[in-house]
Amino acid sequence: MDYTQEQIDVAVEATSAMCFILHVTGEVYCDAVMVAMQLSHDQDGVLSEKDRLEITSLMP
Amino acid sequence: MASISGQSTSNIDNVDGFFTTQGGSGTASLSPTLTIVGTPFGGNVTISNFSSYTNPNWQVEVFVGATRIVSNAQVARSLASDQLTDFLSWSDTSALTGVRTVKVRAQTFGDFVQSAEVTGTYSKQVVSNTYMRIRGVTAAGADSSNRLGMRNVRFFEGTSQSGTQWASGNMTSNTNPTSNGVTLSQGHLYSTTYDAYKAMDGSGSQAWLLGASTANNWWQCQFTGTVPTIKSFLILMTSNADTSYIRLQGSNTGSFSGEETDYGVYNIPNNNTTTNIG
Repeated sequence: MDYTQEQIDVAVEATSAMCFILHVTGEVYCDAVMVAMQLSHDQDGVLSEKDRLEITSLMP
Repeated sequence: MASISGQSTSNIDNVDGFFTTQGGSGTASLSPTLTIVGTPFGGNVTISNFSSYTNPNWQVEVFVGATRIVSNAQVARSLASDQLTDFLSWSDTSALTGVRTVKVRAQTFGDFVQSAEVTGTYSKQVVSNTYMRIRGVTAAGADSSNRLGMRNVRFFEGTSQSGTQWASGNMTSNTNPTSNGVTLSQGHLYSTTYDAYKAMDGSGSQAWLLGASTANNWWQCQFTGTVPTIKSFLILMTSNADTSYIRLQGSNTGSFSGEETDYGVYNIPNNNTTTNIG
């Protein structure tokens, strides 16, 4: 799956830089990052309030 | 063997593996308990009560009458703590009807003598229901909120993903095209982007039950016309899924309140690759 810079930026902002980096480097799996990336990709960088609540609920 | 070239062997019994009373045709006894479960797409056996054997290898074959439908090499083994477990499973793709007979023999590593044969039977389940439901479960089969995420699901009337396919074509909504003969639904809808028909639309999108609860973590296919007999199916589970196990259920009312038939739990890795069952 390909991501635009904007889609990634939105996913990082919705989670946290720390979680994002640890997830993508494979050090700590973070379900919230995975979900945020998928939602951001499918909605082209636009996350709704519902999306953010769902992502937040999955944060470690 | 009492003597060799006229010399008694009484003093060398059990020396360097030489047994004077071996006889050459001995058959070890075996009285294990076989717990056999038949599923729509195969079967499995759990073998217990074999204390006279130490970590034996099992020879398992399945027959319908005199016809062998599963060879020993086709039986799947699994390892636990570097030992073969006593749970063995197989895929039963035979078109033959009738009771399956499972034949089991034990053989301890390093021993050339197989045990006597023990048999058990099972009947292959027939899957033919108006409603087929896929539910996210734990490895132990308990209902789970660990969400489903499926990019492709297809049912087949033939074994090994052959014969008529359901839905025959790609869906454009949960009900259309009606000529495909199915109506799709799911217990929880996060957004229309991830609706049930996305698992049968032939695209890269998915039916994703993000935010599902234990109660509503299911996806369903209703056959609106002809109810086929399903002999195999495939699932592509995306990495967005939070479960690697599904339970397949069938109902003719759609209620799923106790009247449904359980068709077993299957390991479907959530790794973006297609898993074929049956």
